[in-house]
Amino acid sequence: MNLVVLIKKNILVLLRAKSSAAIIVLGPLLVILLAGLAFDNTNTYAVKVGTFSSQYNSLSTSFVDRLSQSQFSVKKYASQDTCVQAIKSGDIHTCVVFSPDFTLAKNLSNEIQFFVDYSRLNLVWTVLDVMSKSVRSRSQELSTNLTAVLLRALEATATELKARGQHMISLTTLNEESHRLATLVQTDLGSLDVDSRLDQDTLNNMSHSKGLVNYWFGALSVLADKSLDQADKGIRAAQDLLGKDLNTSTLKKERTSIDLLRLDLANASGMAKNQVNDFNLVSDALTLQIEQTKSQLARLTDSKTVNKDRIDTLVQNLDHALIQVVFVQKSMNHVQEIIDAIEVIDPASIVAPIQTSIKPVVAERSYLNYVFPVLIVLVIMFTALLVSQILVLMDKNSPAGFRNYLSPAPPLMFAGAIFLTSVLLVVFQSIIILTIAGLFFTAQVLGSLGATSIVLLTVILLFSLAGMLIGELFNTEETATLAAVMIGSALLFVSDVIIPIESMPSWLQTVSGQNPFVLGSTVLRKTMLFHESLGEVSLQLSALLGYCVLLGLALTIAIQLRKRK
Amino acid sequence: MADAALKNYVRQALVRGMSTPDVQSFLVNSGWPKDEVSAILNEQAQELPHNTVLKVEGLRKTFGKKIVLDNVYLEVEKGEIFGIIGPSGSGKTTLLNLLVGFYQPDKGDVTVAHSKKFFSVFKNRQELKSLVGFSTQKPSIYGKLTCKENLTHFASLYGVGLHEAESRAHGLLRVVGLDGNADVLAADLSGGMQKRLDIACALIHDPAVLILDEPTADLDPILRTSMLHLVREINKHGTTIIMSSHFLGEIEHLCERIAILRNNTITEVGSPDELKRLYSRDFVVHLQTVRKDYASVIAGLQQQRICSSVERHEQSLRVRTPFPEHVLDIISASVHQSGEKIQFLHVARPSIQEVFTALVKQ
Repeated sequence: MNLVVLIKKNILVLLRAKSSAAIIVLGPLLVILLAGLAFDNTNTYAVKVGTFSSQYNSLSTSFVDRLSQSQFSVKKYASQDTCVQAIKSGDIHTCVVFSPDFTLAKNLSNEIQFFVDYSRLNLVWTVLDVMSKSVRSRSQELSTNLTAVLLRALEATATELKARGQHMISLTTLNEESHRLATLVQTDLGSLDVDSRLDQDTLNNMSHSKGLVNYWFGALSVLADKSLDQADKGIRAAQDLLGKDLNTSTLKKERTSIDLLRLDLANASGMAKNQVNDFNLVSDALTLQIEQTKSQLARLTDSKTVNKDRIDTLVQNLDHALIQVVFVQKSMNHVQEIIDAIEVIDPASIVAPIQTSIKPVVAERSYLNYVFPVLIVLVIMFTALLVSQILVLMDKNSPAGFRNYLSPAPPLMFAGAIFLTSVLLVVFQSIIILTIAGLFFTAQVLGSLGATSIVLLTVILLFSLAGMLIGELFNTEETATLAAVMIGSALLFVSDVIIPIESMPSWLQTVSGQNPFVLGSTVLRKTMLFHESLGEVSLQLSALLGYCVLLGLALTIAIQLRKRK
Repeated sequence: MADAALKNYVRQALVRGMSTPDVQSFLVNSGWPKDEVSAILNEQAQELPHNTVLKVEGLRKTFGKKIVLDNVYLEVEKGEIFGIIGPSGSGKTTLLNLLVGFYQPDKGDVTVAHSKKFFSVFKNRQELKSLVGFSTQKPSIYGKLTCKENLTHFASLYGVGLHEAESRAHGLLRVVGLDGNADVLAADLSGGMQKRLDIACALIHDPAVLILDEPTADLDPILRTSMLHLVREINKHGTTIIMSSHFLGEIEHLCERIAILRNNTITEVGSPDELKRLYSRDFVVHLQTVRKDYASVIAGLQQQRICSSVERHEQSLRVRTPFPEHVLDIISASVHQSGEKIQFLHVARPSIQEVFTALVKQ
């Protein structure tokens, strides 16, 4: 009963102060209205881009055109300085400077410099992102073209290698055949006996034989003549003996025969003589030829020796050549295999082997969807901190506080009433925000109502307790409000709302990980957007509840200390 | 006169914790008759437990090194209006805050009678809170709540049910003269009305003792009169009232007993007349004649040397003397001789204001 009366009193006192009532009722409406209008889109409107190039060419112009086509307002500047100055004066958001000789030439790197104003921290990342996307798109086109050229060259190489492969096989075969023949030649040459066995004795014997032939031919001729003479003489003698009438005809016939024989012999002798002469001539010629042959054989032997070495070298060279040919063939095969092994032959796929397409894990509606968990925790944080500390100080500094103290009601009951009042008011504000966001800005607020409500309530409890502690520690509304705003701001700065936590120093990242604002918004994002159950966020939720317990203890101690004072 | 002073001394000595034999021994040695001392001691010893509703014993309170109160003994009787006076900064508000247990004393105790026993307000704070009501110098109310809401709110803190609280609120608003303003925000009330609302809030739980800290401060004379009337009305209902005020005239006329707080302690306690008698032997004779010629009167008085002081004011003559009868004789004779006619003549004890001033000067 007392508690209800106290809560009623707190709400009445707070609402009857017009400014407080306005803050409580209109504050969240205003916040959600502004946030909704600001974040209820997914576009990056009105990004103004300045460009500068000492000499615009087709390449730089193509980039500028691409930027113009990407919703950006593009303005060309006469110098880099004026372009950068335009950022400082707020005329443009970023300045794109193309390097001199910005062209696709051999071994020439092209650079595009972005000048941005990092003091506009919230804008710079967006500008950089969209600019990079735009430039990357054009750059990718160029890369695709260049890669296509390279691929065509590779393809031609592969075709050529394939075609030349048969030649290499033929070359190898020929080489092997040559090697085989050379080996045969080598063998034959090795086995070729070109040593002259016609020594001088042979030639002398041949000459002696020739002399003997001549001699015996002469002697034979003489003997034949003599035989014929003898035969003639015999015939004559026989004729003489037998009379001239005795069978003269037979004798005559014999004589004629002998004459004929003689003639024949003479003819034969002449012919033999001619033949001997010829023999002699031939013999001489043969001797000469033998001599020549001998000489030639000698040279041949020399030549054989030299050529044998050459053939050996040739065989070796052929061996080496074969090895080289095989090696080259292998290399060619390997190159071809490598080229054949290239599976990705689409230039676009090579330039961008991994296509990044960003798919929202929740249904994409507007930025409000994404920032809503952070936004509502932010509103809860500041509202709870301010409302609860104001309630504490209103009670503490109220003239009626003394009378409250004199009453038998325990101080913790007043604290409990303030706590519940603060929680009720912030819950009321949260409901307003959730309702408006859900109805008018289509924010995904009712994803998992049960878990989301519990998380929201935990966050409200936490920051209400924190606000009450601030109210207990400070004595005036001004200092307490200042402290609440400072603490809220500190929690906000050490979160990922302004800059990503990952970009902070590691120790600050650790601190940020324990930041109740970060914990609250993280858990709420998980439950609200990803529909995670309480079990899945139990660790962070436990941390939040742990903070609640700690703050509750600290608050109790502070109240007791004030009571003692 | 001596009897009253003796009674007062005995009462204070006993309240301060002196034993009866010690008090008796001291007084007899000082020349007081032993029988008279014994009789008063017996009388006081019997009276104390029955009438006392609140006792302060050896209270000491310091803020840092500054001693605000020291060796304070006090006793408030049931049903009386008890006044505490003292110079600014003498510790009146601190003493009142100690009486309700708001401050923790460095030494001593404050006890409140409850069920025929005395309980320390510091050790039994929660139990005794319902016995005491406190109206601070500046109203302890919520400006953003209506008169009725303030009353029902504070009633609820004392465990009074909503229906009963509304009934009491209605009655108290009538008592304090705010029955037409039940639904008016407290912040919209005048200063005097806020004071009265504050007193109503202090009474919402029907306390046995009501402590009022400067109830008439910042009020105009009409509102002050109204407030004093309200205090009397409340007291008529049996509520013991302890109040402090700068307006000593009000205290003198309203309070049955007064405590004077100076030099960090209660130096004197008694009824206004007792204090006057105890601390001033003089009477004040106030004379005003038609022609305003007081030369012969002054000469006659100075000749007799019976006056403590003779002050010539613009229109009147003010004579302080322990022998008022003689002074009246001299005035009568001088006026008769000079042919003057007496326009106004008044003989009285000096006011509590004068006693207080004299004491402070001491």
